[in-house]
This record gives sequence, C-alpha cells and structure tokens, in this order.
Amino acid sequence: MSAFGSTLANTNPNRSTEVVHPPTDSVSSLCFSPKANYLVATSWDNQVRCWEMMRNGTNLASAAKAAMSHDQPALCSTWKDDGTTVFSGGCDKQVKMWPLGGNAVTVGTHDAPVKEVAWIPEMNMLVSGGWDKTLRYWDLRQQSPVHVQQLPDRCYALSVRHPLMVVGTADRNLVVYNLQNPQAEFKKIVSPLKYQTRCVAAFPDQQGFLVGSIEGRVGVHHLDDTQQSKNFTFKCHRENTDIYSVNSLNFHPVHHTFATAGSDGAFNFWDKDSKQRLKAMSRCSQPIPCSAFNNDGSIYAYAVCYDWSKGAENHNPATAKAYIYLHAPQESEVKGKPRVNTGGRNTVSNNSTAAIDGISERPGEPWETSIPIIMVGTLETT
Amino acid sequence: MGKKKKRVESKVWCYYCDREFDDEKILVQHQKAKHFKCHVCHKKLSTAGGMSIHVLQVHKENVNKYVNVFLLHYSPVFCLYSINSDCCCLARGEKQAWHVLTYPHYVDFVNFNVFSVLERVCVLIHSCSMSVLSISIGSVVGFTLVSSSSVVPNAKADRESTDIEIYGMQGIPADVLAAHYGDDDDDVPSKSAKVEIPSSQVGVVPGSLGVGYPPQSTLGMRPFYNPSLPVPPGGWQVPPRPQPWFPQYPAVSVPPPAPLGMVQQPLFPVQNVRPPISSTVPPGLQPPVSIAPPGLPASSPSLPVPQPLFPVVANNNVPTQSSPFSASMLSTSIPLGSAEPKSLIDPHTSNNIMASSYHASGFQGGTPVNSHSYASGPNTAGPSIGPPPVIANKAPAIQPATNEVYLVWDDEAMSMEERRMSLSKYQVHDETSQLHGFIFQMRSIDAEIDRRISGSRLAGRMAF
Repeated sequence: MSAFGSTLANTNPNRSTEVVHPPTDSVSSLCFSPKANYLVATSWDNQVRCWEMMRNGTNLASAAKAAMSHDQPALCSTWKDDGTTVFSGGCDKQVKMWPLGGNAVTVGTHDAPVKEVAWIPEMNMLVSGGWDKTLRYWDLRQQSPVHVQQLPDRCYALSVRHPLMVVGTADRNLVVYNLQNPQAEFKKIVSPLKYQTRCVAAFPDQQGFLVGSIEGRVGVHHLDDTQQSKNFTFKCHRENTDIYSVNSLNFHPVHHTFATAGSDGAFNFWDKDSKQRLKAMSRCSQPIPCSAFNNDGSIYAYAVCYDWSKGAENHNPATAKAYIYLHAPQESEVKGKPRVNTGGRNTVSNNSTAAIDGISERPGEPWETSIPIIMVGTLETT
Repeated sequence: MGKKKKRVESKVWCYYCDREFDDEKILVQHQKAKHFKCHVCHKKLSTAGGMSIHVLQVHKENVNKYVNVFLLHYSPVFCLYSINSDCCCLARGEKQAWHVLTYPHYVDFVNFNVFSVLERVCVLIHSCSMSVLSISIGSVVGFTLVSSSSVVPNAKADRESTDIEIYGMQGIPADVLAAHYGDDDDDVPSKSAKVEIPSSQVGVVPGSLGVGYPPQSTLGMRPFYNPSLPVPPGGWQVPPRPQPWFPQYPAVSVPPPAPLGMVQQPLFPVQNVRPPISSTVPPGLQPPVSIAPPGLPASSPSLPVPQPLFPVVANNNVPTQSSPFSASMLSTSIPLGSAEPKSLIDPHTSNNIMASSYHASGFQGGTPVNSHSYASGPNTAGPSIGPPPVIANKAPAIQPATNEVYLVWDDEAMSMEERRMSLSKYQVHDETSQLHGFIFQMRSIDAEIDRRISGSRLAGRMAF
C-alpha cells in the first residue's frame, strides 16, 4: 500500500470499525446471527468468540460477549436460526454446540478436521463437512449422525440455501444436493474453474451458485441446463502478475449482490446480473480469509490476518496480528445496477434481469421442476 | 513520442529456457517458479545449486536426468531397445541400470527382461506375473538414467546443469550471452505448451513423455504405437474431470467433445465454407443435425467469449444480442431445411461477423477455439483489476510481455488450512512457545509432504 505511514492505515485503509478484543491468531470463519447483531468468529487460537454490535447513530461499536474453546483450532461456525445457539467445528474433529450463555457440548465427531458446518432450519439438522471426505447430518439429540454422506474428496466449502446445498471438495469437485433428498447427489460436476476450489456460495434464489478458486477467479454457475448460457467466470483479486486466492463469497441478504474477499487483502462488491463490479475497496496489508454480512446487510464484517497463502515462511508469530473490521456498506456499493448500455447497440436482452432491484425473483424455479427428483418428501431418518 | 532508436532490444531472458521478459524482477520470479523449484515440496529456492542441495538434503535424492526408452522389438531371446536414437540390444536376463516406468502399466511378463536397480520396481514386475498385460513395440518401457548429476527442471538440453550459478541475468557465460543476441528470431515464448495446468508441473514425467514422441518418429515406428499409450498424456487431463459434462458445456470447453467443436469452429467464421454446408442441406431432415453443430459453435463463440471478463460491461450487450439472434436463426433453420440455405446463411454469417468483430475489439486475442468461459488458464492476458465499467478496448494495451502469472497459493493438493495444520504448533494441545513450533515446523511439513506423496493420485508420478 502506501509508504510506511501509520500501520493502522495499512491494515485498515477502508477506515472500517475495528472489533475490540480480536482473536490472538488468525480468524478462520465469521458468522453473524440471523436474528440480531451478534458476530461469532472462530480462530486458530482455538477460541470461538462472540461480540455484540451496537449502532449509535452512524457509528458501530462492538463489545466482547462470550467465548468458548476447542482443543485445536476452530475452523467453522454457524448460528441456529433462532439466534440462540452457535455451532462450530474444528481441527479437533469435533462439532460443538454452544448455547450462548451456557456451555458448549460436542454434538458429533468426524474422523478428520471439520472444515464446514451449516444449520438447516427446514430440516432441523446440522450438517458438517470435513477432511475425512464425509458430510454428516446431526440431529442434536444424539451423538451419532443421522446420515453420513460420502464426498468425492475432502470438503473445502459448503453453502446451504434450502433446498439447495453445494459442497466444494478437493480435486475441484462440486457436489450439489437437493436437501429434500439429501442422500442422493443431485449433481456432481467438476468445477468450471481450473484451480482448487476455495469457497462456494449458493444463490439466494437457489438457481445456482458461485465458486471461487485459488486462482483469483469466480465462476457463476446455474444448475438448470437451460440456463447454462448464463454461466460465466470472471477474474478478480489479481495484481500485475500476482494472482490471489478468493477466500470468501457472501451474498447480500437484501440486494442479492455479492462480495468477494481475497488473499490480496481486498474485498469487492459485485452484481452478477449486470456483470459489474459495484465497488472495489482498498487493499489491506494482510489477506482477508473470511467475511460475512449481517442479517440485513447493513454490516459487512471481514477479518484481516494471515491466511497461509504464502506458506509457513511468511508467518511471523511474533508480529502477526488478527483484526476484524466492520464495514457499513453504502447503498451504492451493494445495490444492484442495471446493465450499462453504450449507445448504438440495441440490447435484445432476453436474459436480462433488469437489475434495478437486484435479482428479479422468479418463483417456480426450473431447476426444481425439470429434474426428476423427489420433490416433496420427508427426510427418512435412518 | 517517436520511436526510440535503440529499443530495449536487450531484454532480459532466462538462461535455462530462453524465454524473454521485460523486467528482471519477473525473470527472477520465473526462474524461481520454474527452474529453481523443488519438485517434491514445491519450495522455491533462489538458485539452481541451492535447489539441488535442498533436494539432496531435505528429500535425499538427486535431481536426475532421464530419457525415454522405447521397445523396438522383443522376442524370447533378446530385447531390442532404443534410447532416443541409439539402439541397444539386451539379451534375456541381462541386467542394466534401467529405471522402469510403471506408468503405462503394460508389461508382457513373458518377454520382458528383468531390470534391476530399483528393487521395488523389480518387485513390481515379479509380482505382476499373474497379470496378463502386453507391451507393444514402440511403447515406452522405461527411463534410463543418463546422467546422475543434478539438472534444472524445465531447462533446455544444454542448459540443465546446476553447476552454473545463474541468478536473473547474472552468471550467464559470455558465449551463451552473445549467441542469444546473435539469434535474430527468438521464438519468444514457448507459448505452445504454456497453459499452466498445475498437474503438468508434477515433474519430468509428462514433459518427457511428450518429448518421447519426436524421437520415436525418427525411428519410423509411429504406426506401431500402442494407441492406448497416448491416452495417458491426454488423459492427464482426464483425472481432474471424471464426471460427464452436461451437453451445453462440451461444445466449447472440454477436450473429449473437442473434435466436434474443433472441427466445426474453424468453418465457422469463414464465409466460403458455407456453401458446401448448404449443399448438404437438401437431404431432408438430416441437415438439422449438421446445421445445428455449426449453429452451436456459431452461438458458442459468441456466448462464452464475451462473457468472461467481468469488468467489461460494454461487450456484454453484444452477445446477448447475437445469441437470441442465432437462437432464432437456429430455430428457423431447422424447419426451413432445404428451402433457402443461402438466405439462412447470410444473416447467420453477418451476425457472426458482428460477433467476431466485437471479439476483436473486446478481447485480448481470445480465440473462439480456446476461450470458453471457464478459466482458460493464466494465459489470458491483461490485468483485470480496473475501474468498474471499463471498455475492454483499452485493456489489451497493458499486456505483460510474458503470459506467465504467478499464483500466490499454487498448491493444488492441499488447501491453506491443511498446510497450516501441519504445523506442530496447532497439533499439540498446549500452544507453548513459537520457538517450539518453529523447531518442529520443518519436520512436520516434511511428514505432511511425505503423506502427500504417498497418497498422490497422480499415477504417472515416479516415486523414487
């Protein structure tokens, strides 16, 4: 970035609000409560911490609320839909449930570190994916999983928008599940990107998903075969000859635009329907390994800390610090824009979604109906 | 501004592979990534000598040079082998210092000589006595160790020695330096092979298999090539894509259906080929099949190509314009059939001309053949971080001289978190001092890498 001015400017060039009492080691995941402005962060220092965000006027403030710990670094976190409980998984291979204000209990274990965890309110179950190449569904009342789903390789990324669930694994596999029939893979494809999958995000309207790779590229993929023409990829998080990994993809809950955060320390806001970048934010001095929107999209939290993208040799434990920042996105940054028309070209926009309000929601989505799957079914609990 | 008389004709170039670069910094990066990179742990060293020392000390092996060996003729009595263009005859039972490649997995045990040296290889051959596999004439049977001195990976034949100390442009012997500038036409980049598929970085194996073919042709043994043999290099790409692609994709991007797309697409922008196609139109309903493929690639270049570059907004309107156009053309073309081929074709081609002219303006030489919307590799040129709605007409101007780009995280086999977990600091329950972790760091990384190597799915990887 700029010269060796104040280091504060380097790690926070966007002048975001800094969260107090950040973790002492890198942050591995961030998650906002669906009900209130509580933020949970898991970290490589084994802790799962919770802060409350308060807004006074235009300012954001944070206050540390609670913490619990795993035995080894915690890698993932999610909230229950009622905002009372936090689930987390980590390198100790355990999936823990933490009712805020109480103690954490282990609800399940994998055979290898748990990389991703997600709560599915419609099924009242927790799903977790780990490096043991399995997805496990947990009914919180019992220690053994309701179902163990084999994955083609280690789980690297997971995104759920009922009934769509997308899992990105090692070896560039992407497996799509219809949660109404979770025991069957709805679709298994090879990633449209040529490099290792880093993150996935399911569209809010469940029409498809985004996939990000280590090669500074994001793919937009629709599930329905008739919409394949709308698939595309774009490059991002690159600088001159350096290509950084895209670490996090998050949809804005209201506008359905999305944000990407990368190892270059920058985060950007994009609109996939008009295929524009809405806003590029300044680069921080350290990578951004994870980020999250809060429930109404008024706060975008991102962590600035080393994500290991340059290996162990670039990690100096003595000086490495982790920060979590809160950015309040402006409307212009996250609201979808209509396609830009340059004069003289008639836009026969057969697949235009006049993105004035973001995505136009289309009910009765084709991908659900045209594929022979069990449409309405109760989950057979084994 | 005017042309400068003495341009930067003395561009920096890489001693090992003769590639040119604008900037010495980029040259050094290239050397580190390509030539001074340990093939075992992918650590980038700063010199060739340093790399060979690293490999020797950390991984306990020599970076050796191997050459293909081909089976010319075999009989129960003796086997005839060739090393490139030399022939060598081995009597049955005779032992030589061969390293046998188990990669093609074709061994005719009856006729095959036992090669010693690598005990585990011998065991392999012995142990597959029950299996009936066949080796055919012309197939690669192994690699022979030509020289045991260390070599620099990805280097040209006469520049492979690790003894010469090269860093950037420093250390190049005077005669080589002069010879380089004496050559008028440097074939600038070996752009040919340069789609940076990470799996191709694996080591000597794929490259050398490719190298093997030309010498083979000098022997005139081409027809004898086991047709299944070329599959592995081509199939090199198969392991990453075992799943069937959905029909909409393969039209452009995937190698297996490539023949269809590849064949049709060159026809596509060329106008005068159209009449021949139209002449096949008359025969009834067949044409929809033959028209549709030209139609598909017709739409496919226009569809995927304009879409990929995200910040480019202006061009996005074009394909949407042309795609419904061609779609409607398609739908009309099928029922019309033999009726009016000519008139069909004209709007089609005019449509395509429009599309291709937008290609020219829009994209940095993204050829229809290559530029499916899905990551055509890091060769797609040009920086892509730019102000949001930038018209790509300007983008081609800023193109790095080399199409090589550097992934900051380039390990395909593991994720960043997995690598981080290999640190002992995170495995031990007490996170004591960093010093503790630092000491054990190398050991645990080595252990991790050994785990990776043994579990490697890359069949062709030679495990020494």
